[in-house]
Amino acid sequence: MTAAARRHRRKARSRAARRLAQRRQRESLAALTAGALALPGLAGPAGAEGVSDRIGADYNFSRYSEHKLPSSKVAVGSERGRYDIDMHQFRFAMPIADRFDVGLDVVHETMSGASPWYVIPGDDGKPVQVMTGATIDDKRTDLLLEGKYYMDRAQASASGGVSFEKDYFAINGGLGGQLELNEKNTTLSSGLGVSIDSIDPVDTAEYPLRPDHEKKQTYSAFLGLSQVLRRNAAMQSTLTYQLGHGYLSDPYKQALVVGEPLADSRPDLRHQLAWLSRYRHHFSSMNASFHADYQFYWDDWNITAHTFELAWYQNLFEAFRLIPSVRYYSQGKADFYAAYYDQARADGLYSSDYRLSPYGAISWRIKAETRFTTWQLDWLASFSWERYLSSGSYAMQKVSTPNPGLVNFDLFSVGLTTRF
Amino acid sequence: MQARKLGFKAMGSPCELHLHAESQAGFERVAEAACAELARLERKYSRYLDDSLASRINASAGDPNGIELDEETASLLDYAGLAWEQSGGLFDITSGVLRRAWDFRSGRLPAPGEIDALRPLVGWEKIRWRRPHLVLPHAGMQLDFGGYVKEYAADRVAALCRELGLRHGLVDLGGDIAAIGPHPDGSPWRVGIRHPRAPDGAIASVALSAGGIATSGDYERCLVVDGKRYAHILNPKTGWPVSGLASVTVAASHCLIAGTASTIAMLKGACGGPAWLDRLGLPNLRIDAEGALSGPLAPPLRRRPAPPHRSAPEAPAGG
Repeated sequence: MTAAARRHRRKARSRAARRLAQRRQRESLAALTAGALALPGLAGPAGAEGVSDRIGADYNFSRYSEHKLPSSKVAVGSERGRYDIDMHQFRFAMPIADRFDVGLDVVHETMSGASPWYVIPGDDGKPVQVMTGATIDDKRTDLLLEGKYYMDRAQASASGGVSFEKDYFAINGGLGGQLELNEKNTTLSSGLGVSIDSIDPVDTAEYPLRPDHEKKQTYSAFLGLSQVLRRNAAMQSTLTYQLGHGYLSDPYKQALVVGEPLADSRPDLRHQLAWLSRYRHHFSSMNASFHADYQFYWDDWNITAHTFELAWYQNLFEAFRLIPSVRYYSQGKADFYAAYYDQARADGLYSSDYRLSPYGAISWRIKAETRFTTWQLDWLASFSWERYLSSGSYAMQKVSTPNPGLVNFDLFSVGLTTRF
Repeated sequence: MQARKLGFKAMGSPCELHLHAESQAGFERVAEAACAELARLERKYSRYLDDSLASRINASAGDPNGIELDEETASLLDYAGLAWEQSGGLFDITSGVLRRAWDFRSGRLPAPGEIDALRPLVGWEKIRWRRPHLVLPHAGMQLDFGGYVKEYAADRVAALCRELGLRHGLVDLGGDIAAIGPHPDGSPWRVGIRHPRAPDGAIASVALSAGGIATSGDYERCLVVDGKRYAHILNPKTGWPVSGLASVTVAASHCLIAGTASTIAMLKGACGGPAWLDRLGLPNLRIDAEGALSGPLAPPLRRRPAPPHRSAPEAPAGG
């Protein structure tokens, strides 16, 4: 080895040793910080309300892949592969005045694959799925700009956004407010939202059942109450109402009615109600939190649904967190839904969409998070994997004819967040 | 809104509360709550009060059954354990017993053998701490919360003021400082740092809008024998006062962390302290025995020039 090479190696080694020492040192700051935050009253907004903490950037990448349908559930000769979606989410927020923050969210998705088109009776009488012939490739971009104003015991926010797709354009806006009462032990929140969508389906010449141009509007309102119950337990309850009006059908789906495919056709009005209740309990002896959520859903198409979710937030070591969770979902069918129709309906409403069918779903997720400091910034990196399985047999009620298009999927996400 | 100030004495130090409050009544309400909280902590952790929890803990020394501690004290002990670990055993709340040998008012050094006699009573590793149960195994052992409870109190009072709806203010407990929030126009507080040899004059000024600042120095209480200074900060491993640095100031997300870091740097001394602080990555200012300033918070013109054989260390960006 030449003298220069030895010198170079020695330098590299001492650099590595210095970096290691620096990392250990950062860890000791992290340890002291964790210890300080465990003290009563100090975990509060010591820096959180300082202006500087409100500048942050988040990036998240998700890959959503639907499992292939088994050949027993698709019509002979039909595509079995389904949707894959890659999603990039970016968020940046910063204060522009003492009590005023703005945030920008950008979402970009690329989708490809086939989707359920309509259902036909199979050879053995069980329904089988016909998938859309050609695989589609599409992109969607969402932009959302939000402004938030902080008062001493309240927050107000306003947002506006647009969503673009080849065959879709939507513009939306929202107003929100939050009020802290009872020495911050009670928080009331409420909001209003509106979305105006226009739908211009593609390939209408080849698929004459698709409409050329349609519109819909969605209005929503919610009211929420959070209450700290004890020092280590809290609960939240939120009631959301949504009204959909206009073209609420799916232009890319059909329903088989007395042997003939007709366009998916749903009512042009839909009232939806969701009541979500969440409970959080912190176990300081285990350095962990337990989360339990239940949601009841009802709409005037007569779908009733229940969601139960349990999660365990386990803090490990100094800067690591593991979050396993499970969710169970069960819904009843919409009044006018059928896998296919042996008789025409007087109201002319038809849909074989699996999302309106009776089914249950089980999903589980594992998420890992770690905090670290580098380049003078605090970071949070996360990774999660979720598997979702749905089936007629998972429903609370007995389902005699499950929809063959019920979806199973995997969802992988990686994320990186920093605060300045 | 105007800045209102209250000066008072607590925990053996002159204290100041600077609050931007809407009204005099609002100011008084918050100031009263802050003083009550300070009084609570002093009653609980002062070793000078016989009925304090600290005195009861120390009275339990030698009792194999030990004592059960409340949540707040348990978290303070956990924190002391962490600081002990992270400082390689230098930050040690059992070292207060060494003051029996070091009487900083007497003007005399400990008699030979006096320190050695106390050393079996010093050492965090000797105590048995299993939340919430504490055993001080040897009679005469002591825990001294004085090394960090004032910093904790500054953070607590700042948090309390925020809970009471105040956004803009500063808590100064004898130089242990926690910001409630910046001035109403968003501008930071200017905190003066004292010169260790002229404690009434500021040597540098630091901008603070969140978190805290703390200073450890050899000027607070010291002993001068034959022209040599013996500072009140004692090394638990030798039983002797630290020397080398005259003072260390650190800014951090909490005054408690700033105070722990500045104490550890003082204990590590002139050789180890500055390098340890640089690696820790917290904004800091240290003043050595000759009065030379160094560290990221030192005013640029008065910073000690880098020795010619070594390039200047990279200064972490403050903030």
